Amino acid sequence: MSKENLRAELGKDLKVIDELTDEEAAELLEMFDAARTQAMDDLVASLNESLKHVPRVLRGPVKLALFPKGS
Amino acid sequence: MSDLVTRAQVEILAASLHVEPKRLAHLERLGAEKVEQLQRRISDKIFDHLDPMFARVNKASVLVPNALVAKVTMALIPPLVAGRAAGSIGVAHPGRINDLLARLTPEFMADCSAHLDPRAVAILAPQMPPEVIVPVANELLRRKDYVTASRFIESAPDDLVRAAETGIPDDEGLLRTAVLTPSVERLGEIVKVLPWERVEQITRTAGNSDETLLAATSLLGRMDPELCGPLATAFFGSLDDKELDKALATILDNGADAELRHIVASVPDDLRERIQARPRTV
Repeated sequence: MSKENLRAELGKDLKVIDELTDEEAAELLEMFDAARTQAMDDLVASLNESLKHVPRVLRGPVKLALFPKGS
Repeated sequence: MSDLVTRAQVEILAASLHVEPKRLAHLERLGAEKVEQLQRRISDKIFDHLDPMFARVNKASVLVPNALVAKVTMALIPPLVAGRAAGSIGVAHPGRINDLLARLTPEFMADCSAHLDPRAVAILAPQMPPEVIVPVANELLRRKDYVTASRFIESAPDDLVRAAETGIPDDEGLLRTAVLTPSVERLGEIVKVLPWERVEQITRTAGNSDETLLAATSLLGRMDPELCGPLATAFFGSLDDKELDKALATILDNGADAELRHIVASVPDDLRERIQARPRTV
């Protein structure tokens, strides 16, 4: 089951998954999920911090481009 | 003998997943090629997940002057995030990236380079001016970060390779970087671009320590006989009998019998006979 879940995330054509045990696949999937979430969180946090240092006159348009309403 | 290329690929995979390499050490049994497939796919999927946000960063970046982008980036953005975003901005705005990179310090770019999307590196490397890239390569070698340096070898165009040859003085660093490069085919192409005297000089750093000797043995053991032969001759042929005996003992004590057999089969007859006449040999 874990291998199937990992295939669903990484692609069915990735043959190397066949050579993992279920435990290894489960652990890798957990690490992958955490890394992907962390990557987005890091990016959003850095952009928010950077916005504070953009000159006031540009801040509105830059913020709108980065975080459109509703996103 | 432990497989240095596989270990390097596990290290890159661990960096993508933000875990200690030892947590993934069990994957070394899969071999370099399969671990590389796994790490490339995981890296691609993580970057794909960030794509919508990068598209917005690209839209916003045109509103801000390069000087300010560079200043804010170095002051506030962690290298992990900056590296990931740089590839995307570079691909979206190729005319702008060179000016932007020229405003960043080699130290900061070296921090970021481990986190670049490999797909973006393949697109960007051919357009990067050597005067920007070579100082970053020197910084990576100064830090002994050979794993990161090795990620750029496959995409480096010939002009950059020539500039690196004149701009990077660290022969041992170049050897250690070459050892970790998965594609021996690409290494073969690079060797053809470099002056042979420099290739020999780099190869002879194998004699600097047991570690460099084993690294070079691992590399030569992966190469086609046509390339392995001249390179192995440049090193083993330069040793006197005492040095040769010590080198052979180190190689055999560390289980690199198969690599040594390949090397011995690749060198000219006179050197082969000399090696096979030593007390410890294959």
